[in-house]
Amino acid sequence: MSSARKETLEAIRTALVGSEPRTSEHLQELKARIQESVPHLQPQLDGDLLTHFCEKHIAVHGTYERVGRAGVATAVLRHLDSLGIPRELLVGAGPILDQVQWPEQVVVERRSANKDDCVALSEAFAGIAESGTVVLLPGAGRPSSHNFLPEDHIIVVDCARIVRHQEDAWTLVRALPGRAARTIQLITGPSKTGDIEQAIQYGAHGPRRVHLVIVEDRDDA
Amino acid sequence: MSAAGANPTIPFQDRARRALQDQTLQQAMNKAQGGFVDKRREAMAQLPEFDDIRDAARDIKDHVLSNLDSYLELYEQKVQENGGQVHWARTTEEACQIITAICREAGAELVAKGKSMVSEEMGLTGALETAGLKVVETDLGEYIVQLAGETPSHIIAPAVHKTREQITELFHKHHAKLGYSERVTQREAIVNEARNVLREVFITADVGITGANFLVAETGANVIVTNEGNGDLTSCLPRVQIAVAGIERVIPSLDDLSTLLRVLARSATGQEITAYTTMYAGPRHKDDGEGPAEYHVVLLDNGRSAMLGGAYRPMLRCIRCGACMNHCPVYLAIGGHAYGWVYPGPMGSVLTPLLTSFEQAVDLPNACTLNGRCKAVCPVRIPLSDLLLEHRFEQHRRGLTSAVGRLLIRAWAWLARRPRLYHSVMVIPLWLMHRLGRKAGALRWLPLAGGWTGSRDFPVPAGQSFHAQWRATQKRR
Amino acid sequence: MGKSRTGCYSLRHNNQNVSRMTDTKKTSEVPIQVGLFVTCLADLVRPKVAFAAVRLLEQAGCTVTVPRAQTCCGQPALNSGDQASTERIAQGVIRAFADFDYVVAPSGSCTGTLRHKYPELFRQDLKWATQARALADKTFELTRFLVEVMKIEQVKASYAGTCTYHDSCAGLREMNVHEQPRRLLQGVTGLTLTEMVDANVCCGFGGLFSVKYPDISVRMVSDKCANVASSGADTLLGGDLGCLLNIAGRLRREDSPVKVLHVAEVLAGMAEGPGIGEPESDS
Repeated sequence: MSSARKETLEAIRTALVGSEPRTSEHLQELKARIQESVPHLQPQLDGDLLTHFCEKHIAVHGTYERVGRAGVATAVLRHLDSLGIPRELLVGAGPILDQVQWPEQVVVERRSANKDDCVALSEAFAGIAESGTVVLLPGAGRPSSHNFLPEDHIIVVDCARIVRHQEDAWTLVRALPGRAARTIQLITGPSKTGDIEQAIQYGAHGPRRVHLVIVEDRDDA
Repeated sequence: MSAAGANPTIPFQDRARRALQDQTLQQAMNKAQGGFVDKRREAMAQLPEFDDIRDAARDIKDHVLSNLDSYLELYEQKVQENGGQVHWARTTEEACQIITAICREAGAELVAKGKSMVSEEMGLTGALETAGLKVVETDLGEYIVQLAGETPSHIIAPAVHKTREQITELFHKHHAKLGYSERVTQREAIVNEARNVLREVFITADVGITGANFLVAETGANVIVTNEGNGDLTSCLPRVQIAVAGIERVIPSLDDLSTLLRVLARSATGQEITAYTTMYAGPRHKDDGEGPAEYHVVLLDNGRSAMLGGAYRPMLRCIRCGACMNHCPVYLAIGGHAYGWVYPGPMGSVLTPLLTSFEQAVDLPNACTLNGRCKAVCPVRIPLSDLLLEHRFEQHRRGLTSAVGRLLIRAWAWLARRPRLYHSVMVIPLWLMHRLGRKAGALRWLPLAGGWTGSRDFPVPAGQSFHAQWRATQKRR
Repeated sequence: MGKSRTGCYSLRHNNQNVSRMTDTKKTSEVPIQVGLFVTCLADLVRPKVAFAAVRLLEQAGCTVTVPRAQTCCGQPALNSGDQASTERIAQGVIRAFADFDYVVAPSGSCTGTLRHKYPELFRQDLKWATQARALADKTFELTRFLVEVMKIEQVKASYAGTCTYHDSCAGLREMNVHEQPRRLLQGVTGLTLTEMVDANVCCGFGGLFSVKYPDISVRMVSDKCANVASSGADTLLGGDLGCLLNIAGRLRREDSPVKVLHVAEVLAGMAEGPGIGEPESDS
């Protein structure tokens, strides 16, 4: 309904009477403001980013393990065993995960999740130390359903990609080559709800548990 | 005005009285009250920069509002570049028509809904059901409220007015036909049952509708903020995705988003960030493997553009955090339904006359002590209590309040401008009240003041005004 | 002393023992001229509060004048949305208090009206806006004036009792009154100060709200009374008579033994006699 569009914009302009004329220069200025956008005041965050990231993650009921590059598979399996979950994994794509050699008994599938899946394994695009947040960019080989349908979610985080503030994550996103990311998901801990008498209950619709496997810059396990 | 559950026919006073006498409601509100206030206070204490960030958030919103048309155009351009469609709706009826048409064209039968207050404003669920669609709310609080046949009573915690016992009964009644025969009483079991029931909905829904806390012009994305993850399941699984938003939701860049997010969750629930803060920009790419084939955004005006031009513009900064109602002693006493429409608490009292009509909402701006707590906690510094006072000026200009009341005030003011006459007139009533009440110290009844003396004594005046006594002390010198 | 041009009565400066932190704001020899804004509630219901304010201001070294041409700040008209009536009352107040160094009132809501609402009222009228601004800039709530402008550290008073202080909304949020009365109370001999839960939550007065929406108002004041009771205090203090009349009215109806006083009465050593809503001992 383009008349609704026209009328709404006109109504806005009428209400904003006396403001700057709507020339193409004006629009360019606003575009430039977007393109040159920088963070506003950010919370002070000193100290080791990794430590801060882990503390924040724990505070939202998450768990984690820190491993070397060779330790990803064992860490994942260790976590599955601790929960009594069979070694059947939905695995997403990612630079670290693509290199992982899985033992033979482990069932690895690369497909969309369904409601009966127990666990999905994803690789984070980045981590945000400020809030203990994991940034996921669903796309080819990285289905969104992995992040929400299974009961458990394990996310591999490359330590080198843990940034300080949320805006630092946007810098990384903007630097991606090619077509812009369609979907950006910031995930901080497992799913929860306070809707029953204002007390927190985990596992509302998304995963009940989120476990991070944080890969540090060392070659061992 | 259209919204499911609005009760303009029952006067506010009656709704408020019923709410005050509703023991279950009072129990539920009491449980919630401390949490809201304490959690926000703790969050503030942990972020020394909080007040300065609030100022930055306000400035971002003000900048957008004074360029709203341009930012909407830039945002729309980006959505279209991404392969999405933007629809404009002047009224709620138009919005419902647009969304119904999208659903029809998609051959939809089942619609999954994430929490969206603007969709309540539209009365969207009712409109879609009338068109023959099945609509299921997926936010747990909204789902509970839907089962109860009610409307949300809080913009963040829709079922805050419900006790656990009430929820148990609702689930037992409505889930039996789905095969759940046991009554679930424990919180964990209740949430699990809802999880299982709603999973079916996510997976089989044809259309997913969510709101949008923000619309980002930089990327053409709609941002949703949840703790449950229902908004994401609603956005990702169905083949048609629709985001509905008021026109004031657009913001320029991702950096602006971060500032607003920092104050949003802290103000709402005291969290630093919700479990899921996500953004979606357009339909799936060919090799994505998953995701909606169609992506639609519906932008609603419904009186917002009119608010831009006058004293109420700051109200458009609102990011729907709920802090104002969480801190409002009136809201905490009467709950959200007493407000009679979609938005409760201070922000509801400001918006309802503007988005419906002044005539329909005479009580709301007056059922307020102007204590200012709402203004103090607003993350984008909306002067809410000042805007409520502005509503009173507008009501006076339009002659909407009681004529007798206006006359009495005018008469009193006439007298108050004439101090000597005023004090002469006061001599007898003061003396009389003093004589009548000095033994008790307080009067248990006063003419015209039944509202006071019904439940309170009225302390007895001194008998002589200060000015009279002061003049006497001066004369003695 | 005679009548000055504006029809006011002045008192000679009356200095008693007070201790100060540093030099007062005015460094010249001429004492600070304060116009007392009585407030309609103090005027009509409890004059003692205004007398206490005068005593405190004089003890602090001010010359206090009480302009005769005052009745009310206009809040009842303001909060009813009657802009025209409010403007006319405001103009009278602005004229009556034009000549003073400071305007002080024992009330957060009245001073809040003068300071914040008067300039807003006249924003379309440059002449009155300027005058309103001038009045606003020199208007202070009593305890804040004593502590921050007159630099009073301690008053000479005693009160044997446990007091809790109710923060009136306008006082707190419009006039930044919170620590100042507590500071002064802590210096009162024999007085124990205890904080109640939700001291800064509205008592439900809100002017005409208390009679227009009585059910909600009574709920709010009942909550306040419950908090007063659980604080263990025997005395409730506050800086605004509207709140105090409301709370005292409910306390009396509940047969509570808690004594309700305006903070000025305690600070000025005038706390003997009946509290708000209590019967007089003699006729």
